[in-house]
Amino acid sequence: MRLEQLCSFKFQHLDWSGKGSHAMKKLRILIIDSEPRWIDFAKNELSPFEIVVAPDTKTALAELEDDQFDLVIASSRRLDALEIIAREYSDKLFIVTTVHPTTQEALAAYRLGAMRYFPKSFRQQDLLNHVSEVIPASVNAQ
Amino acid sequence: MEITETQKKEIRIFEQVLDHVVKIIPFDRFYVALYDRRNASLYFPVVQLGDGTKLTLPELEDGLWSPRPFVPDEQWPDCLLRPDAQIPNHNDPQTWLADNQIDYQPASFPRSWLIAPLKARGGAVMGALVAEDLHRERAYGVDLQTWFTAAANRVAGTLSSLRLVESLRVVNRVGQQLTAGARQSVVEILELIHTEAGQLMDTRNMFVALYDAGRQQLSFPLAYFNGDPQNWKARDLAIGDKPGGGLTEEVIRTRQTLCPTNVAKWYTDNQIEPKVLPVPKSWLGMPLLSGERVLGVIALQNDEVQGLYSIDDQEILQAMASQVSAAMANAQLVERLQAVNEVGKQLASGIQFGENEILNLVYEQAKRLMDTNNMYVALYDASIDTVRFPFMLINGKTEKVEPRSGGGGRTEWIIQNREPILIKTKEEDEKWYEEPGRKEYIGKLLVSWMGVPMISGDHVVGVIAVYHETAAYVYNEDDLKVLQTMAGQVAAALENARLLRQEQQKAAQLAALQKIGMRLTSQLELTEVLGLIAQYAYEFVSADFATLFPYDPEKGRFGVGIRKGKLDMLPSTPSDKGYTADIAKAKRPVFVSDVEHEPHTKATFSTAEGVKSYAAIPLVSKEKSLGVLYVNFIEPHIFVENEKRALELLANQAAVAFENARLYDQSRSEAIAAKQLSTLGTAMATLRHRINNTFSIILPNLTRLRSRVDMSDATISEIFDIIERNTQYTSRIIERIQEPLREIEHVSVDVNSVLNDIVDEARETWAASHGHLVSVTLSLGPSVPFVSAPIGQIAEIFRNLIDNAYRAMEQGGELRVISYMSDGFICISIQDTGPGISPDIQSRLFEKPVPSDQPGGGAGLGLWLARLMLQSIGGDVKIETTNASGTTMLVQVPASGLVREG
Repeated sequence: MRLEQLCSFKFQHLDWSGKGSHAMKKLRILIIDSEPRWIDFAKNELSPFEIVVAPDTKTALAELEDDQFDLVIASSRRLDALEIIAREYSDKLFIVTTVHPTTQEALAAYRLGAMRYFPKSFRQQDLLNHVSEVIPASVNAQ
Repeated sequence: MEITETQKKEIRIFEQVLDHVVKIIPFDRFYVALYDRRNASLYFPVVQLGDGTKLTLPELEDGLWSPRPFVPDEQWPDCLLRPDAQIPNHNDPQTWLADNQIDYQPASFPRSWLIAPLKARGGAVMGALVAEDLHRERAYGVDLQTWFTAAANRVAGTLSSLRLVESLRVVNRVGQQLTAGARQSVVEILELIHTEAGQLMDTRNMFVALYDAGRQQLSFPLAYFNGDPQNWKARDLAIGDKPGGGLTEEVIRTRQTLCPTNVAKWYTDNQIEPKVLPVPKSWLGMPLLSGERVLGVIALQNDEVQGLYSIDDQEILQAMASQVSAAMANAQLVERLQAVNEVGKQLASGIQFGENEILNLVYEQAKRLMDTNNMYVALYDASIDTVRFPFMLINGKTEKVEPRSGGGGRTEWIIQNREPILIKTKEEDEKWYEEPGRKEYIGKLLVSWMGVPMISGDHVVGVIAVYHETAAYVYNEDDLKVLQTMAGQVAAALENARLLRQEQQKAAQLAALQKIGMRLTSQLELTEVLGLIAQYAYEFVSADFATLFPYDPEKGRFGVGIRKGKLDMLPSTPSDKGYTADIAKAKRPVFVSDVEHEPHTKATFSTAEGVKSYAAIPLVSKEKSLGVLYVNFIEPHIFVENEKRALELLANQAAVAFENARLYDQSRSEAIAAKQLSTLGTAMATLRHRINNTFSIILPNLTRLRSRVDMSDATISEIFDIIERNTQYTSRIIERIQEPLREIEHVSVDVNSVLNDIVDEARETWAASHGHLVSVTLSLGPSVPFVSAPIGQIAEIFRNLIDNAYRAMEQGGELRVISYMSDGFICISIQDTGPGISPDIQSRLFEKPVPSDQPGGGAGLGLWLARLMLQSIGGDVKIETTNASGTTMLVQVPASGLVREG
């Protein structure tokens, strides 16, 4: 199963503008967060992607159960969810956002396998840059 | 009847005349009639009958020849004593009497008489020589008449001289008595005059009025009416340019003797309504003069006889008056010298006297001596060429007068010329101001003015001046001397007080600087040092309060102002513009004695706080301005050289102390931050090292695996490729994870989002451990902008404050978190309904914790470090209110945030 997922990258390409072939599937991102302002910002910022929001760990795990996601963006408050994801979906790419970056938290996030640990910056492109650094890298690795 | 020495001398004169008369003129009776002005009577010192009998004392005291009251208008031959009396017809007395309507019926009426008046200089009649023939009519021919008149004139001349000599002897005796008894009081002197003058003239109606020019008042230390002493009350009087008040006023006004020939006519001529009726027939008033000043008036009056006072009388009284004046002036001078001496003694005894005490002492003594209803003392500061008026009395009331600089008044003139000014009249006053450059400050022309310089050593300390608005000659040379003597003593005392103050100030300065120094070595707390500087600054110069604005010369920003005397801290807007910034940049102190006079120096705080005067002193260390120290006065204040020096000295010391504390503080916080970063760096390096180690195992083993499996299988080969590439990719990613803190420093922070997150987290945490005891209200301002700032520090603060709020409400309560915009700041108010923060915790809340390696030791670092960060960008975090019903913390983040560097 993991192999299949890795392989699936081969047939996908990015559609940044959203203008590409509709036959092509949009990349899917699961955001595990409950802070409404950040969710709004992220949805807006990541409009080329298909966004699903899970406000808590339980919802997030249910979503992951039902669906496939190319990337998980989790609030540092949901490190508990990430612990389960890292265990159950070890190949899943995920990044951690925080409002209160601390050394301990950063270490914990990286130990779980996070690709990024960064503060919730509301500046345009900040979030997108992080995401595009993570996802194309995987694609290019193909 | 007692015969005085003078009378004996007079009798001898008459007897000599009689020897001649007996040889030439036949008579039945010859006598001399004399008027005794002392008791207004006629007496007959010499009487000789035709048979050569001389009547002696027993007979002269009885019957026809006894002394009798003098009513010259009614009785013969007393009518002769009238100045206008004509020589009567000597051979027909009855016709003469009828012509003169005189009712005279003596027991033995003469048939013929010879009568000749004894006229003194000026026409006053002293008496008469009379020869009578009781039997024959026309007994005396023209030759005899001529001879008799000539004889009478000679007798009158001799008598007049004799009396003058006698008067002068009395005057002389008065003088001797007056000079002999140096300590006589004024009343004693006047009583002496009354007694002595009584030997020469009628003093039954006599008074002495003393004139107080300052108060415009007359007092009557001596008054006799019909021979009885009177106690007349003092009365007010106004001395104008024209006659107006009455006879006494006129003497004072003209400073000349007044003796109207007809008193009633004098009143009519001058259109004055007499105050006391009946108007006296004769009045003689004489000024008591000391120099040009009128001390008072000595006056005689007679209600019965007109033209009573001869020129001789006037001269005698004049001589006495001048003796009295001199004696009174002396007495006053003695009194003055005593007062001056008193001032000197008191000043010398109290070296610890302050300026005000000295000035009050001078006033109290001066008041005893002269009119001080209007008096001032000006003190002069040569270094700033300013005159101030610490003592100013206008019409008996203390007034405040602004200091002035470069003025052209009399005060300045005296300071420049080191000479006194004595103005005695309105004309002199006007004339003084005619000179160019001279300026009048009181607002009106004055009549009497006197000012003396206070000179100590080689410099003028100030001026003492007194003045009177309406009366002339209020002050004379004696007053000037007294005031000059006093001024010298005062100058010395003021100088002593100044030196003493200087010494004390120096000692205080040293003590204060030493204190600061000691505090510095024992504690390098920056706010502590700033507070001390402000506190000592205002203690130095007894200011109302002092403020200090630390200045960051690199960023051109002001930090938080510290103020001692009223409050502890006050917020300050970070800005490199404005008045304070200008002073910091100029690096030069500014002293403003009155902002009203220098409106351009009116800083915003001076208006708000009611500050009238201030010193703004930059703290300069190594050519850098570290802050500005304000020393503020609510009242205008002139900074004397001493204070300026003290404040600048303090500022220099303070700058060094401040710089030391700042460097220490900076190095401490830098050390802590570095430690934090290095911890993270070490952790990251360790992680990277471990992961790289893992990869260094994976990749060679993959190669080994490739050689063991069938690589012709495309799927297996692909799997190997994927594993290898992803492993290498991961390895690259790990390389990229470096210095995470640098990345998190500069982000665009949505404060509202941060609050949402943190409040939500705290709510969850506390709900889990404490149940839902705390209700939370979040009220986030929609206009709060994103801000470029270190998100971690801000979140750290919020988390700390919210945790604290929860901790304060273990028993439940309400948490309110509000964000709003105010004055370019994003304000975050965090309110709890807990029991408030105790004072000792308040003071430690933002304190730098002692670095500790114990677990959790670094937890408290956040609030201190975060505050440092906030303050560095001009924000702050503070307790807004805390009391039994709750605590409100306020965080201020400048909306401009941090400009991203690079």
